[in-house]
Amino acid sequence: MISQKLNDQITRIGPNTDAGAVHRCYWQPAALTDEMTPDMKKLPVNLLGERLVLLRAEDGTLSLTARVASPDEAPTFHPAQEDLHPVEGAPIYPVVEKNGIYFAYLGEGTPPAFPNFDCFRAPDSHVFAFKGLWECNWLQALEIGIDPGHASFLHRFLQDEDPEDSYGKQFRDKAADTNMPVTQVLREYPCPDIEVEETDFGLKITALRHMDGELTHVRVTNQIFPSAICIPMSREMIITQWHVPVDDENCYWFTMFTSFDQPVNKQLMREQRLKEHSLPDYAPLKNKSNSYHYDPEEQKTQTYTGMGLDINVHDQWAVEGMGAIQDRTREHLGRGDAAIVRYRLMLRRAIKAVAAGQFDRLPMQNQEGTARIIGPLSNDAVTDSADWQAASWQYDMTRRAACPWDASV
Amino acid sequence: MSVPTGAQPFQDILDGYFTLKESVRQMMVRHDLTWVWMALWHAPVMDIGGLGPREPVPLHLRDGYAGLIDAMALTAVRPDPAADPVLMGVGDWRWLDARSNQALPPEIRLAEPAFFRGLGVGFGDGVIKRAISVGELNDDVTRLAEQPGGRGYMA
Repeated sequence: MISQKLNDQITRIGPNTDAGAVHRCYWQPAALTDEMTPDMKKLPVNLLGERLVLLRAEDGTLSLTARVASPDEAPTFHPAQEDLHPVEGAPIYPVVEKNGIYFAYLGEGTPPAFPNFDCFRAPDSHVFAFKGLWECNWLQALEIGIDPGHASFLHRFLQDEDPEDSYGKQFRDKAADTNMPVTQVLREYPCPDIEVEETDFGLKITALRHMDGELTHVRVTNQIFPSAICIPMSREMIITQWHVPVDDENCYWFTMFTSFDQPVNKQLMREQRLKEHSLPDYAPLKNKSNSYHYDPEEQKTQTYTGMGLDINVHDQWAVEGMGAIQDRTREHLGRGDAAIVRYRLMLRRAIKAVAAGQFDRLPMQNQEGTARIIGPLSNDAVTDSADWQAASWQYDMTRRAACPWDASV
Repeated sequence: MSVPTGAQPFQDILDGYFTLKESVRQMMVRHDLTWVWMALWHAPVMDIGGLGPREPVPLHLRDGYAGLIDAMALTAVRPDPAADPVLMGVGDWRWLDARSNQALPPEIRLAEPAFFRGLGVGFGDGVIKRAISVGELNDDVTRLAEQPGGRGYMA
């Protein structure tokens, strides 16, 4: 229930805004490498309220700069190659490629180092990247991802799928080494205890679901400052997902799916997701204009939302339904929103630090220290031990020890 | 830093929307505390004219004043478990609207829940829930020491 001014301060990200200045201290996903085929020299990119063009020089060097654009251009307008014209004399932003995503740095000075997260250090064969458009502000998109309670309601499946058909899908795998699908755990134990811990990269968020038989389901997820999350998808894969502002009222989720076991089946995962999105803007086919394909019969028998089995659509409906920018003058958070409360504290602290020029007080701005950040740990574990921290840690260590690439922490 | 005898470092979240005094009272009840010292940071506050301390907040923050506590060291004491606490704070805050009186009213409300770290002394010998290490308080203490001046708050 904050004032409109305070809401503007933490949501608006254009040039010369408080939250925008924080975002400009970090590498931002700008485009999928799949979007820029080898024959292309230019690609339109709309990022942080700026109309940009990704350029590939003859020697293969990449850069990002402002392009000539009409002020009334649609947020995800995708001009043809011949209509892409860089603005002369505009700043040139550095770009690097990381496992399927072009990252750009729109800030001043030396860009920060990349943390050595699993999604960056895994070989290309074990990472698949995709993106999708959500028509809402980036902050509400992020905040749903750091709310461990929402999965028990928004993503409630009234029937469980066969975990053998779970490849590439969130929550469909078995919970740890049990025969219980994660969907069943979420459904039957909807009120987790939530522990939040500040880390070098953001927040570690642990949801504890105390089950029958003195078992505890431990789900560890992470907030990566300023706009990303890292969460488990299955026993094999984790998801690292950025909520990247296109402008104040639109954002792209960019996801890197990282496998700790087999190489990812990129063709299957891309086909699964292309069935749900249109190109070139990666807009979801289920959207507000068609009521997200809401089916009341499905809602009676299969899912909480009645909007299909793709949990991305559930989240999209929830966050777009709040309006282009969530009206937080009407919001009433509780102590169960612990991760959101802690995140906003970090964001406001970062806003103040940037305003004071104290950039070293932001997470991951120390070059040497940031490069040494590994992980983060992210998994579902089930334990009968009171020492759930140790059980969760051991579960991740076992997975990492068997990993074909160096996933040691 | 050294910790006063009997005090335990801990962390928690104060509820929003009640008066700050009521939110602190509820937190002290949860932990069975007689004395608490807290470091509050970047906490949005609201002052809604005509709203009594026990009245619920409206659903929509349209009227009233909004501000932000940038930093506050807040101490609360209650002599027995049934008593309301007395709050004494020193900190920096700012109002975002035109307002002649810049003071923080005794019946100020947090506009959203606020995380804090602090030290608590219980009525009994029990261990305070959500305990943290002393080292986790160092950053709060260091940053409070960097704050300029500060104004007083009592409730």
